[in-house]
Amino acid sequence: MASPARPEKRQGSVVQETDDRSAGSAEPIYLRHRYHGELGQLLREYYTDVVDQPMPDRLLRLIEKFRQKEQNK
Amino acid sequence: MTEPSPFCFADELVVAMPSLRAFAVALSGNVTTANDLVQETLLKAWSHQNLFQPGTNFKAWLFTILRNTYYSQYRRSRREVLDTGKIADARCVSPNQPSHMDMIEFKTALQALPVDQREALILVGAEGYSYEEAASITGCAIGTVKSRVNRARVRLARTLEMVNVDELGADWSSRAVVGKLQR
Repeated sequence: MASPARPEKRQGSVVQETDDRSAGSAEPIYLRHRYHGELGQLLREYYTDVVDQPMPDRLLRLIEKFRQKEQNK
Repeated sequence: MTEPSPFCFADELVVAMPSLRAFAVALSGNVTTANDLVQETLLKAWSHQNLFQPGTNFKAWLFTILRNTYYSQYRRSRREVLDTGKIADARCVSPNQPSHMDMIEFKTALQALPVDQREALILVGAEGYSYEEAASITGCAIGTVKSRVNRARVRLARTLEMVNVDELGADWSSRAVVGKLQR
């Protein structure tokens, strides 16, 4: 019988019971939710729209500075 | 056996940046403020990178920094944020989208949510964090996150006049598994 304490992992529309801790993963696996229905779709569309927007130049320049500092270490 | 690739801090920041920015937009309701928030988060993460524990969730660590930055510096200007949220709405949606009006209504309703409910909904419903991870990021109990997500979805459904409140619940297969575990 599955224990309620055992985390679950979902991928797509399929729920998979996994336990990566036995494979040495540092992160526990948790049950994730994929929301359905019109509201869920709007939420994902809204979020994806912002995620897909081009990154502002000032943030890209900042990352470039970080890279240069890493290379100079 | 192949060696794991070395952790490159700047590369990991680049990977996390789009989600970080989306979370910032959802929190602040304002694109310019969101960019400021992300910039501050990147600077803080860079200067405190020794505090990150390798093997733990890097993106969740960044989300926590961004959230704390928002609450400590930006929430005091909440009135201004709410006003400019409508401007951000107009900027973020292409007028060519067929569901343009739906999306505008959705964004307005989302920004009208209390910020604690909005962040819980975004973390769990959009970013895909588990309740446990969202609780860790927001520094509150798992039950509190569940309650906030639930209140957010009910309020959104009511505002958008959706008849079925369950439209923003976990999907059927997740419910089936959770139900089995609880029996």
